Amino acid sequence: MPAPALTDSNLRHLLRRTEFVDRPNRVAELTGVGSIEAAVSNILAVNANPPSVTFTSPADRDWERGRDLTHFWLDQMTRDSSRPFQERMAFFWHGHFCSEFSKVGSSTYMREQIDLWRRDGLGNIRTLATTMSTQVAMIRYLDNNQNKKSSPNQNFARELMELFLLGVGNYTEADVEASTLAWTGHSDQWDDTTAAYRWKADWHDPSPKTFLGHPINGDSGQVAWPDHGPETIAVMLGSGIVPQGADNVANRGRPSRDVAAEFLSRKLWTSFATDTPPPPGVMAAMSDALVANDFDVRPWVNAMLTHPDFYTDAVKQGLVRTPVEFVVALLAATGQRSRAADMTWLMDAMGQQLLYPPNVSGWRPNGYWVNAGAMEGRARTVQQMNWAAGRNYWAGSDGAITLAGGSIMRSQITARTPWPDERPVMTSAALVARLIELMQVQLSPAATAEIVRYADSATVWERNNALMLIMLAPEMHMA
Amino acid sequence: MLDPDISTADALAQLQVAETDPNALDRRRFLQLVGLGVGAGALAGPTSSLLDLSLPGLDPSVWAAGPAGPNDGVLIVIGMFGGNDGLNTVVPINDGLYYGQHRNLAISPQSALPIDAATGLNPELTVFKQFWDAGQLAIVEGVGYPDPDLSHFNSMAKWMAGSPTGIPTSGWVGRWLDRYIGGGKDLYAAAQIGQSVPLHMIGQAQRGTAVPAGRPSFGASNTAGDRKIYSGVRRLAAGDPLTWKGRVGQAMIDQLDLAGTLAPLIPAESDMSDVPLVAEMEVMARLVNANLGMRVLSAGWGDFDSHAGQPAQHTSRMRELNAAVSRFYQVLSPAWASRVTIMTFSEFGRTSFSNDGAGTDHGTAAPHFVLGANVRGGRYGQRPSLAGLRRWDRMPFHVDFRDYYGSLIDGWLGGGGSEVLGGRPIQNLGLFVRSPGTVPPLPRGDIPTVTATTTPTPSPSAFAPTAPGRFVSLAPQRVCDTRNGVGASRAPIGPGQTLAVQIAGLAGIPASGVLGVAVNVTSANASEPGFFSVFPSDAATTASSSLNTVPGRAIPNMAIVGVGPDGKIGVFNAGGTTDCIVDVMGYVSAGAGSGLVALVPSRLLDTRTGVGAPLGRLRGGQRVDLVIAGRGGVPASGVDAVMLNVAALRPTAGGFLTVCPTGMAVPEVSNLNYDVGRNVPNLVVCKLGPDGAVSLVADAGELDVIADVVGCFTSNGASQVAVAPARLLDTRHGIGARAGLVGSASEIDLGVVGVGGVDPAATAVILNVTATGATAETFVTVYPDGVGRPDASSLNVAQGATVANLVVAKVGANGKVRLYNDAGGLHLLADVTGYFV
Repeated sequence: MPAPALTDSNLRHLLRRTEFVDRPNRVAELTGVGSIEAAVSNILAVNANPPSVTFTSPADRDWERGRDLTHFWLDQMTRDSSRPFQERMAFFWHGHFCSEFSKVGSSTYMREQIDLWRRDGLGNIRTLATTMSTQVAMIRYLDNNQNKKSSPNQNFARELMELFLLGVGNYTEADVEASTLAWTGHSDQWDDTTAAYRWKADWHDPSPKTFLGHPINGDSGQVAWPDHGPETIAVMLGSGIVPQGADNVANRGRPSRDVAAEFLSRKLWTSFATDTPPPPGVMAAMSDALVANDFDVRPWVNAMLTHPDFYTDAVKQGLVRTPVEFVVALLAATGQRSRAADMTWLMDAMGQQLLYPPNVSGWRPNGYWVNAGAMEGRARTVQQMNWAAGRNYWAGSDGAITLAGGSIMRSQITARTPWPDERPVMTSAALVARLIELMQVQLSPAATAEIVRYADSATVWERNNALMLIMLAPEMHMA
Repeated sequence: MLDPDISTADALAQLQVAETDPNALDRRRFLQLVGLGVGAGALAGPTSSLLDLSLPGLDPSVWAAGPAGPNDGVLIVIGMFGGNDGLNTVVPINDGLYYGQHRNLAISPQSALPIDAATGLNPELTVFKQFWDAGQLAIVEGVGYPDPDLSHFNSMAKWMAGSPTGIPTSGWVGRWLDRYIGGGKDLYAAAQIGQSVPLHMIGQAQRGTAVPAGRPSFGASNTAGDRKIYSGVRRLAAGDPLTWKGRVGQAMIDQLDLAGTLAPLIPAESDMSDVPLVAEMEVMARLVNANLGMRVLSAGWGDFDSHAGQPAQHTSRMRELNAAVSRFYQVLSPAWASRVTIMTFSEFGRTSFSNDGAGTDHGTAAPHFVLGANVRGGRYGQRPSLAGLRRWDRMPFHVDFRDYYGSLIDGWLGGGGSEVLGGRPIQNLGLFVRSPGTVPPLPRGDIPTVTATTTPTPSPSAFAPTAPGRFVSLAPQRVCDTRNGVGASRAPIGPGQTLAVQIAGLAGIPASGVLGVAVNVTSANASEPGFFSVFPSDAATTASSSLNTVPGRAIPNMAIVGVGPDGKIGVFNAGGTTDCIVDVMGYVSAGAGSGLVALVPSRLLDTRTGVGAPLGRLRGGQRVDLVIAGRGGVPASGVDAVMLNVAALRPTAGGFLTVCPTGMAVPEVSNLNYDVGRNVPNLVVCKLGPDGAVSLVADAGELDVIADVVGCFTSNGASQVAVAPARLLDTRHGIGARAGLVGSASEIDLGVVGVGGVDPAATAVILNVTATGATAETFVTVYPDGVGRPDASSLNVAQGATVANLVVAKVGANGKVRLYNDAGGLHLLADVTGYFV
């Protein structure tokens, strides 16, 4: 199959999906690299040690520290990272290996988990899964701190298979029970202020078990007890076999690593491409890349982003921006920092708040965000952004609307020719074109014409609200 | 070990078939998409969104099913997400096994609220206890399904789907909605309170609307500047409904439509509870009170997934549930109590054995609640036995959730439970004592009307009263239709634009000497809520409202209005773009003609009771001839035309009603447009046929029709004078009556002569009467002061709605008319636009 060409349309699509926004500087930079493959390589060349948030809120106001983290992360996505794909991929893992702030109850441990996605999100899935399993955020979120030999708690072990690595139906209840016991002992400490990770050996069940047809925890002494749980991940992504008794008849007897590779590939495709299952060609390329590279992320993502199936019209038109992506696009277009724009309180109304996935299955694409209720949240967010960009507009003798590419003055928008003509000096068409240029976005001629029509109908004192219509245009909602 | 029934070969076979079907939704993908209460349009994929229904060519007049009828039940569905511990909800207070297995989190017999010797309710459920004591709480024990699944996602999907097997692609309420709405579109038939629509509210063609618990702000402002923005958004949002971009646009349009309707109904956030479920159930009560037509309202909350620390967690959930139901009934109008039932569901119960962390794991069967005024209180089904259970054993179920749902559909939502739930016969639990509502009172005027925008105060106008004129009735004729270019260019009227409609010189109307005209004005294809003002072309545009435009519906109202010196009337459109249709029924001239004999209203036709026509509904295409001469105070002869208040009741399809003289072919005009299920009144002026009768013809569906005669035109009747609109009554501001709501069965005496330019000798006045803020469904009758109240209605008001209708009212001997309100409280406004002398 021919490699996709490095056209302007393909490059902008690639950037919108991987770096949230097709920033002019990145379009210019990558237009010259010669091929989609080279552009993807550039995008995937993320920083080895991204900065971590420094909490500015006091330690006794943990909820506000969560907001510190949210603002920091949105700014990284929008402007502070030179390779925003790092943050986009971390956002994917945040919605996949979910933890939720209010149950975890600690900004410190939420930061630890988010930083794992940010730092190692393009590393190896086996390593990521193993590391996150023994971090406090996950231990608390899925109750493994209540999982002990004498009183097993299945929550984590079940979701590790059902939602994180294999998908429902590819294991039996016996596998859930075996895995639950293998994960006993990984807990946290409630009796000091750090609430840090604790290994509780007396809670652990070290007995040999059978998991996905494979003996685990058997060679006592060879494998340290704390590694008994991670053995289940090694089996799932390695030598495991979907048991004959599993629900998913089509997969019975297949290597679980192939099942995991397809499960994860479907999830990645759904997040980056469109909400229908990946076509067989790209599915095969992605899952082959995962298995061949022992679940390394980078070749896997590369296989998707360089595949011609990623550049079809159906894919290009096939994804609605999630509220986080929408907010990042608005922050980018208006050149705002997240804390200054102060719109995180509206994200719940749109249906998506960082650090607060609705449940352990994370967020879903497209239709989830497209309904009248969620649109009310988006409209209010746009009103807030309009206010933030124009907060000085009415101040003094002449204020400005500030946008990504510069400012436009009130006097420019409101100036009129002398009586009796009194037409705006800057035509509506010129005004809208200038706003779009300063926002560094691309709108269809039809949408632009409607916004011009609005500006024509508005009084000169209201014409600045054309900015709101640009931000609300359906194009702005598309990833 | 595990219940051996989990994942039987039967279930596997079902799942396998669909998974290999290329047309079916991939099961694992489905399970990624369906969450706890947030399944949403994610499920929709590219082909099953509500938005797909807004295709070109769909008749917008069938977009709304209209208000719920008095015998339509409303079902409130409460989801408890995460798996509710049934044993601590309905407590087996004399079961030693419960106290052994639930050891560290069992509820003591002393603290449970006792309902019988073996059973207590969770101590937090005090309101449920009150319902139990009143015989209005049903406890359905042991609800579950075969081969239970222990995954939140699988099990919730099965519960929401209402199907224990197969790939869940639609939900049980959604499939009921498919049958209920049929092929149209209706944002107001079922709603989820929240940001998205869960699977149980998604059908194969229809889905519920997501209504956020907060008051919508965007889309609800009426300032000119904001309305321009909304119009801009609507135009910007138009797009191909088969693309995601187009669906985004349609969602934006839906949002604006909903905001206009919902904003007046939903309190400010600061006035509602901080507990989301409590706020959501308050919103539900307000949506019911407003009678938007909502039949199913759903909300859900959690977290019930108490793997650890259950006592505090579960106690909070029970307290929230109790508070929410309590708030719901505080806000719900008592008039609706007999039409509302509340039910609960959850994806599973929990294990009987607790763990050392004072938690429980995913279980199976559990009890659920059904409560309401017409519920037959008591315990149903069978509580699962705890005998012989071991650590990981789950309880068997006794009531299949399909029977649970089916009993609600068949008992409360009008039937069809078996069809909705997979064709299996429903074992009806018999949960209800009575059907929804009460025996309907024989109606005088139960005609709820649309919600609408506020009615502005008329502004002073330079328009001077016309000279007294005589009325000349005409065979009805259409003089303007912007949809096809009749009498105007073929384009809708834009926002803020005025359409000039030529009257003088048209067929049957002289070219000069025309003082006024009786027209039926209809708005159609309105892009947003707004209003029409109809006025003489030489008047400064008044801010009076002749009718309220509503997106997706055709809205008619009669106007008797002066004609300008150029022979034209103006129709000013304050709203988005809209089409305009004008039909002429007669004109007022300086020359010869007849005059109005105003009458005390009298009901001449009621197809519901067989008055004036055989008992039975009018069918589309059927013509009913109604003799008028000699009835209701109308002389037996010498009558040129009559004035009727006509209402279409509960149509089964959208359409329009035409009233014309007997003996002529049905003209291409409409007197009132109706929508499915929605009752619409309008004033009609019609020439009498040679036999002293008029014909009424409906063009589609089946409907009941009522007609009250309010006046007739004879040679010795009074002449008509048009005046600039003047507000004589506004109870919101103490104009014409004391400030405050007009109460139930209360009357206002309103002086209408010698004020507002009305001659002291006037025998009848032309009033545009508006009702707003009604606290209950009611009707208003306007009649002469000093006579007994007639069995008739001038204006019919749904709870919370704003309704306007033109009223021609005979003036009492003391120069006053009396306005009677039948039920609840409401505000009344009356603008005088003319009189007869």
